[in-house]
Amino acid sequence: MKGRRGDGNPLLRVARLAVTFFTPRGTVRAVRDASLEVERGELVGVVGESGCGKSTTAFAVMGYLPGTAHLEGRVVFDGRDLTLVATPELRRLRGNRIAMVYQDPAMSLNPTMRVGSQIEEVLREHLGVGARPARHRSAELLDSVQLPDPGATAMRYPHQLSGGQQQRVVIAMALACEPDLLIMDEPTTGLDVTTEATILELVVNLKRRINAGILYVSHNLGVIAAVADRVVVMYAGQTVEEAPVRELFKAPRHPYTAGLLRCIPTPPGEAGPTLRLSSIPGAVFPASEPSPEACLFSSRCPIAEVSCRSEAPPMVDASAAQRSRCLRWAEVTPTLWGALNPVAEEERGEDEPLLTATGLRHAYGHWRRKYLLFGPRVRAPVRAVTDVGFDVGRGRTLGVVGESGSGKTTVARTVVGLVPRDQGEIRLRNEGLAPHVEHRTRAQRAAMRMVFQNPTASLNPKRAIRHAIVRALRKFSGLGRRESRARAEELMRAVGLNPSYLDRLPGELSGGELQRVALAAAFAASPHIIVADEAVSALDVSVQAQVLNLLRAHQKEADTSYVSITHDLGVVRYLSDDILVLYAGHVAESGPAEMVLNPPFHPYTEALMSAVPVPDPDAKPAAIRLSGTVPTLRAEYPGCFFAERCPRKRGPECDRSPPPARRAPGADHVVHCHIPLEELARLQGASEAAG
Amino acid sequence: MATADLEAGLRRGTGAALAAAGRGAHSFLRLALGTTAGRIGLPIVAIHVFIAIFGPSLAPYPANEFHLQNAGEHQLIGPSPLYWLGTDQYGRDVFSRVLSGAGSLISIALAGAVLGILLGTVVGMGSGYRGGRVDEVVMRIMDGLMAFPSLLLALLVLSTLGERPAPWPWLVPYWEPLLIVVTVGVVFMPSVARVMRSVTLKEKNLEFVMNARLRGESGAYIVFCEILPNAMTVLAVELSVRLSYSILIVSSLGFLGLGVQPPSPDWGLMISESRRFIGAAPWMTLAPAGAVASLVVGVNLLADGIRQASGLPRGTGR
Repeated sequence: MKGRRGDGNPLLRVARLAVTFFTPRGTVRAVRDASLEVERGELVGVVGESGCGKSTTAFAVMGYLPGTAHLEGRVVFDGRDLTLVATPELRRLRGNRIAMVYQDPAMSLNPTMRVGSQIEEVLREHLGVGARPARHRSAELLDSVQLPDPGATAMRYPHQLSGGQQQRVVIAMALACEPDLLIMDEPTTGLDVTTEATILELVVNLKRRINAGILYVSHNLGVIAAVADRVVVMYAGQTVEEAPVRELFKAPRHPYTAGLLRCIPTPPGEAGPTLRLSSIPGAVFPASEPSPEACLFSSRCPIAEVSCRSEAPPMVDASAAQRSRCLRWAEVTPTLWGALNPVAEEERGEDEPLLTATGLRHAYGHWRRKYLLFGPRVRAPVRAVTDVGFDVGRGRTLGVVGESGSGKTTVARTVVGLVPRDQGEIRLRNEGLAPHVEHRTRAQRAAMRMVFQNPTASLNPKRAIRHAIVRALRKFSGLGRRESRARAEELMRAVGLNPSYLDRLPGELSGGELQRVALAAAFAASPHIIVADEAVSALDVSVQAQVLNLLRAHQKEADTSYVSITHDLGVVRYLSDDILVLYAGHVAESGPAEMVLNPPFHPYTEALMSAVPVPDPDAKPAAIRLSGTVPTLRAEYPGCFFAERCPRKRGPECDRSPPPARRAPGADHVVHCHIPLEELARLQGASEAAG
Repeated sequence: MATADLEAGLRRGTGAALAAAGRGAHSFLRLALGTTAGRIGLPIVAIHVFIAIFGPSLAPYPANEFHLQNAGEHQLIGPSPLYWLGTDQYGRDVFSRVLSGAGSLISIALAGAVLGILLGTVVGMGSGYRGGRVDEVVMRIMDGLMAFPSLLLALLVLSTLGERPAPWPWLVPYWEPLLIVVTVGVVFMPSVARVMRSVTLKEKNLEFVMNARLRGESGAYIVFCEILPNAMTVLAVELSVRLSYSILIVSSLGFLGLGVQPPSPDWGLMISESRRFIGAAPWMTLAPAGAVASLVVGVNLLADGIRQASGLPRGTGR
């Protein structure tokens, strides 16, 4: 790696950047003091929680800020200050020398144009290439981002491509003019882990191949560890730490970085006990406040002292390559936030399961006939869930994992009765449950509550917070108005929120706070079981840790069971006693967590595990990568549901007959695969040793 | 937001609810005043409303007073200091009649629009939330109603209703306006239902509605207490758009002689009666026509302002 500073001119130098938005609703200080440098051939990761100004910094480099933004500081690209460059010149620079990849690929592509023409347009517009060479070059570009059959892909429209393929097209487009600087803003955030892993590999390859600087913005430390050479950590609009990736992960020099690193659940494949998650108490310094003469992190910092609250710390050199905005950087250690205690594993007596589901099936839609109501059946309904069954014991947690489209959410919704099952049986405390929630008894509804993924949509935006909680109390506990009011305040305190929030509207609370309100409303009925559909995946790591700890604490206290739907295997490992791996609506593997997360796995579980970005820059890249997406199953299919994408596909038998359920001796561990367990263990053990 | 207040009010009592609705309307109007259309429309509508309330007492003559003292001298005379907008064939003061006619038109039109919104909201939201076959059938019926031109449908409804006399004696003075209000309500129901149904379809799959279902709330509770508060903006725009259509329909019915009967100073009726004299006494036609036109333009501009302020796209109505 090249020297960080002092060797003349870096490709990009952002110096003391401040971006302030003056809006009718008040002043927003999105970026207060950001400084960073990007060299040619270097990938600089910018990491931080939502609202810390990382995207605004990226947009400021591109000059994509609205008129209400006031910009201070300098953005020097190749010796020129972009804040002083005239608009037409800036446009030329943006097209030819600086390119950007955004979070949502579907928004970056024109839905009415073939993706090939969109790339050709860029080439013709910025490089003045003729029609024929442009077509040729666009195919080359699509090939360079490892899209299969570039010629055919170029002829497709964006909606005919999967999210991962769309993002590849966007990257190809950004590379079209061979930019000197590539800015990527959360390019994998909306994608599945498996897709994310393949895109990250592509980014790493690109970095080696093109001689450009890359500025990579992400909230995910695992992703940053996988791709970055150097990392800039942002907090409340300031860069607080800057270090080469290894130093940052090994020896953080800012308390915030140390805290962030400790909020991440242990990676699923790691041996050892599950460790309690630490979280960073308090809230991010509000963007509405002007910068005080103090460290912005001091209110949440465990080692803050008087001087931290009376002077604003500058960036100081902690070592030749590492800088920190902390007065006491020398005292920052990885264990600054206290030692991580293993979660107490209690032995629970194996009594009757609380919830049992057997043979669940659900298909969306109807058979479509050739002539509306008559004629032969031409298209089958979509089989979202096929023969799924599981048990949930008292006080235990079942984790349901799979990519998007694997049927996790449909399983959750059939269990609570929002989506009526077509076949199968669900029993709660040995009582059969009706398919529709409307047909279940009040006691049954009270016993099973649900928490949704999107906290902003799960509370009515036009009704006060009080509504959701009080209404649940009055419906289920039969409490009077006054009593339910008092109980609502208790519940708010129990989830760590100020009872005065009860009178606010959901729009006034942050995502983490809203999710805690949703939990309070779920706890209100003292349920036996809570179905959590991606309850923490929309939250920042530090907030995620708070919510996960809250869930665990409640479980311990009230002996509640959880069904936790998630795509994040780290969360599954932290929360689950048992795991159910779903693929295309079928059970791939199920059993106790420690057995599912260790070999032998189902090949699909293996692929999922190896796709998880590990927050360790020295982690070896996994041997297995899954390409493509979960298929939409319509008609009955004779072979194995996973055969099409299986990295360990054996041969014709996989296409011919459904996989048998293979049971590990003496345990409830079931793997649906044609390959015998012993052979799987051998294969996977071998790849682990080799990889 | 104002809608949350509105519900808090509903629980406490109608007075508080009206106050909250007033605050809601106030905030909408303030937003609308931020647009050019709203700034032009609001004063026009305000003048009309002022006339509707105080017109009869401001009028220089009673609306139906015949000025026949010197036979022929006071009939069909043009605008003059004595009769500002001239007189009609019976020697009645056109200015006084225009002032006196505003009240009935605006109140009937407003009542009709409100009734249409109520019917459409109940049908549209109920049908949309229920979904399935019921929704399919109800919406096809609404489509069938929408296939008729609105005036034709109004004539149809009015001629079916109009045969019967008032059921109770105390209702007699209100019977005719009531029939028109019901007619307008029925005519507007389908298009309002469509709009409200589409809002419901969008909201009903959101997690907060699922949450309410999991709590075991009734369908009516979910529709009116969970979804409706989120549809208030659409409702406000819909009301302002419907109002201008309503004015046109009510005055058209008057013109066709199906609404209020002579000698009431109804603007539509006045235009219709003055047709025969349009060559000799154009003021007789121009005065009520101008009044209707300015009212419709004013309401339309105001509706545009509200729509712009609420950030909804144009063209919700037909």
